[in-house]
Amino acid sequence: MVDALAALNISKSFDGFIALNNLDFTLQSGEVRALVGSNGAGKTTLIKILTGAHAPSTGTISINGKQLPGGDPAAHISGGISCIYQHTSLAPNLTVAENLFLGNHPTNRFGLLDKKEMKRRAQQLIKDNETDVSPNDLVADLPTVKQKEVEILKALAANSSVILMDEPTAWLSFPEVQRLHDTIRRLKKTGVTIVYISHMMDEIFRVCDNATVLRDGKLVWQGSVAETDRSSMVQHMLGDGGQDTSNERNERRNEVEKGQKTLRVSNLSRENLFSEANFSLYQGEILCITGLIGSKRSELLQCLFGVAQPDKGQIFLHGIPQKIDTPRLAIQLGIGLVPEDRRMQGLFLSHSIEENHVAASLGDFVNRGLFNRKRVRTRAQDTIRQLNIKPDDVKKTVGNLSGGNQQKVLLGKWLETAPDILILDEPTVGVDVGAKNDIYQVLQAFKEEGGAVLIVSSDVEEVQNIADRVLVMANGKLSASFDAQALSHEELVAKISGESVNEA
Amino acid sequence: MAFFKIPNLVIILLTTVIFTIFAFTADRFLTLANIENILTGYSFLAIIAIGQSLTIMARGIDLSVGSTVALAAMVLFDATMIFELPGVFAILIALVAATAAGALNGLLIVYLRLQPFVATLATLAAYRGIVYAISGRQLYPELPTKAVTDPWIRWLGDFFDVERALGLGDFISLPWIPISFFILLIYAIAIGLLLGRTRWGLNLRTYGGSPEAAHLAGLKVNRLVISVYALCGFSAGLAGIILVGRFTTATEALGSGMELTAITAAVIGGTRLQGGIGGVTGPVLGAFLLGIILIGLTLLEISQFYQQILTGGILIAAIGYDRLIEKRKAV
Amino acid sequence: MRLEINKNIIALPLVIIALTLLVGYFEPAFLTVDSAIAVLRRMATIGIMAVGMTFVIMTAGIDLSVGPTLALSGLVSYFTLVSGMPVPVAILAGMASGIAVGAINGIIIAVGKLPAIIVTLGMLSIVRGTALLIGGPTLHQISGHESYSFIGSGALLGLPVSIWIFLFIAAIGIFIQQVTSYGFQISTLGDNPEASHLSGRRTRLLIFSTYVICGCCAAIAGIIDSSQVYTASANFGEFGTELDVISAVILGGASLFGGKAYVINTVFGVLFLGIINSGLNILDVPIESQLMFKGTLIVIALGFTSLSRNSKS
Repeated sequence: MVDALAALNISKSFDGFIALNNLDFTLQSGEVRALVGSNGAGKTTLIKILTGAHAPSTGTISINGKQLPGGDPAAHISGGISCIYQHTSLAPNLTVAENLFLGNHPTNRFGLLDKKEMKRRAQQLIKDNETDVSPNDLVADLPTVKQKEVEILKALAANSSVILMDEPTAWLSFPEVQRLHDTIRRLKKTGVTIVYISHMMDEIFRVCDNATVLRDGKLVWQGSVAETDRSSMVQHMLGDGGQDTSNERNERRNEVEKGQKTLRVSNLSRENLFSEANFSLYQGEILCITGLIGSKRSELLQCLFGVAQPDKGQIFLHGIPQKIDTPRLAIQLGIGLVPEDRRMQGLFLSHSIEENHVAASLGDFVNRGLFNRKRVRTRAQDTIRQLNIKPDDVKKTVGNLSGGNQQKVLLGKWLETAPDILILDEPTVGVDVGAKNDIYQVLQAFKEEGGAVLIVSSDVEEVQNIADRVLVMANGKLSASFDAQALSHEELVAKISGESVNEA
Repeated sequence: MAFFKIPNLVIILLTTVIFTIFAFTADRFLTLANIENILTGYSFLAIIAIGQSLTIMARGIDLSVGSTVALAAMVLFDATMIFELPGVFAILIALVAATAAGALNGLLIVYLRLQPFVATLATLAAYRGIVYAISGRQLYPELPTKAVTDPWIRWLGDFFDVERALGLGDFISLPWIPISFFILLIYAIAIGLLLGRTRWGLNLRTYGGSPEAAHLAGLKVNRLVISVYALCGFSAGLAGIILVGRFTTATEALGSGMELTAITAAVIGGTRLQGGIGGVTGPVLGAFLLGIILIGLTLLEISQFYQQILTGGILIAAIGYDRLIEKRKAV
Repeated sequence: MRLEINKNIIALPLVIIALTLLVGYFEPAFLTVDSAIAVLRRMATIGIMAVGMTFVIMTAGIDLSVGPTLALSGLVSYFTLVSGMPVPVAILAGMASGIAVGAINGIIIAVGKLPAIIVTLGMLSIVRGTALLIGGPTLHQISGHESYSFIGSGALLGLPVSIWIFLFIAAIGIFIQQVTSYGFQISTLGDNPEASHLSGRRTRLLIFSTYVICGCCAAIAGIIDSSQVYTASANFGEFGTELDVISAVILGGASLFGGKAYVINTVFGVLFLGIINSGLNILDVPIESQLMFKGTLIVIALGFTSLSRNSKS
């Protein structure tokens, strides 16, 4: 039997960085395959190669035995691969029917749009797939789940035999997820092959037949989901780190002496995001909030930094309740935030290292409105040395630095504000191992000098390496805190993957 | 036919209310002559507004329409007065020139990757310069005082006597309808069909609503954008030849500042600056609403300077209103 | 801290020199000190507005209303003088009118979050209408105010006062942009508005302030303009003024998408335009065709800057 999709021997490198390494990815007709891996594992690159957005460096892609050219999106669509992206690719101002046939609308013999035919075909497609939309509905008026269904219909309208779904449930509520899964099961029966890309373990076990796990651009595990369990899947995804750190960990456990409570969060809630969050953060400790991606941890951090307002609950700093309504106030109160997306939210990419360094603490460098250039330079140079930033030239434009060095610049910027509380959101995503260690060391030093650190991280290895205490967040609910060192790697993984089972 | 549906009940209501107010307050407002005035004075503007709304739907803007109006007018003037071409040819050449000017805007935006407003701000100056350079009125001293006599062109500025055509002249008196109004109607229907019933129109709305979706669907975006600006140029050209018919001459300064009124009419008519949403009825209604207000104020003997202030204010208020609705939707 | 000149725009001074020599080849009189002063004097008002506009464009904004603002401030100064107030008061009143226009622009754009192009296009009409209301379409001759006329027509150390004012404002602009905290905050705001907000900057206030600066510069230009020709008129700063001003800024390498820009480069952009304007004049290109040439040249130059920027990123 011919494979529905056969991507063989696929490699892809960008400027010497190997994103995918000699990967074989084959699917049978009617198969639902999960594609999992942590950030930077190579999932996105694989999707882009399959849709033709990127050409692979080596390897071939064929659909039902017919080879595709690679690097030609139009040819891939007509060849039978469609992708449903995380963010919608529908035109919101058009109707369902108009969207279904984008770029390929039926016309009559005068070259005018054949609206009747278009509507008829749309109606047929909707009926065949038991979708609850009308061809005349405006896409912008549809809830997200229906938009996803329309995207699936659009893929079917283009006669796709393979549909990629990139995080299809990221914006859906639980009942909506179930609806989507019903649709997937129905498609499966008609012989459509689906690649299901997701971080949500329970969804994968509910709807997928097989799974492929990528890590660092390589295939690390592949097999039937029936023959494995959540913990081992997460284990494959994250790798088995943390083994040789057990000694170090025991040492550290004894060191943990709780200082003063600097931050207390009481019953913090935001509608539809998270509810009843309670925790405290002490001086001289690193507290990690872990969980799977999409568990609304960043949204919690936003409330602490004044980017968003909670609906309910209170934030206490040094025992005093505070209403933090702007980042400016948060900074004045001694909080720093290293945001998740350093390029979009953190850095001034066309500015130099020293300019980025002082951007959040201008007051310390400005006298009567003028910069104290010498002070800026010395401070930036100190930080370059302390954080081991390469190149060690304060004049270099930040946009040209590597991910790890950019992250260090961003961290340096916030340390320069001398905060009491440093909040970091996924501090080492896309950061190389060397830079990771540098960052950990700096955080340790900050903590030992009495600072309080709150980290959101999905990287279990990282959590075990640096956390004193751990909280697990799942679907907007926060667990009680526990001692990071009291748990083994496996137990922590189980907590992360296990707790997300109890949805609803 | 979504494009002939009422796009915005608010503006029809608003037009009715304002019309009624003026009908009671301004003495000569509810007269046949004044209705003719409004139709003559704003039909050509509605045509420009239709073209303008196309560029706005494509997430752009065309500031050069005023100069393009003058360009078409001057080309027509030269063709008929200097080269003494028959009116039909002269009109054709003028429309081609205006379309080419629009297409050039599109080319600059697509291939030089200039922001629409910068590109068209620069061509606003350049096209106006061409108008001065080719002005037959300056090359031949006797021309400024001569009127265009070609019957084709004169016809463009003519009126149609409804009563006589219907044979009702003895019973009621109806306003004479300017030919330009009929041109507007035909043009609006044509563009409405283009928007609502062709792939081109659907592609334009797709691109305006989500350039990303247009790219992913493999639409030929560059060609689309160029054609939109070409059509906007054509609209301005149509307005230009109508004005020559009406004034029986072309002046170098014709159409200055018209981009503001055209953009205002398009925006009042519900064309979204975020792109993708717009039609033909909206800009046409917008143009006439503006016309009713401005002519009404003139009849009330309110200084035209106030009208200038008001036009700007209406534009800002219209986008503010648009943004407010957008916000309420998002919540 | 950042006294370097944007490197990809180093070509502009070279082009300016080449153009000067080219024009000088056909008309040697162009290469004299007098001619250079004439070029500068003609560009002084555009240059002053371009300095203000640079800050607006750094925030990814635009101000199309500078032309009528220029006219308005000239008129306000004129009427203040006529009412018997001393010259300094007249100047302050003129500047205040520009600041007021800028503040209205700034509030609508920064707080109302409406698109700057449309808002300032609307304001263009509003301010012109207001100027016409105040002054009518006629010319108002300013006579008998020696010290007021001195602003536009006097000379100091052999240089016209208007050039001194331009140089002074350019120097302040360069100073603000290069070494002050404010200039730095504007430039980082344009680079990444969200990061700027998260770094504790008052982004709305910053955006607002750039329009005030721009309005103030347009007002100063208006005062110079009116005193240069001993006349105030509501029709000064005709449509096309803003094109010159914006072109000068973009020719200087500023991106309309915001971010780092250099006032010193804007000054070069102004010089470039000045050479083109005067060059076309001196080469006897008819006034009518100059507009066409200028538009074309600007499009070509803008196209080059835009393409070189795109190929870089």
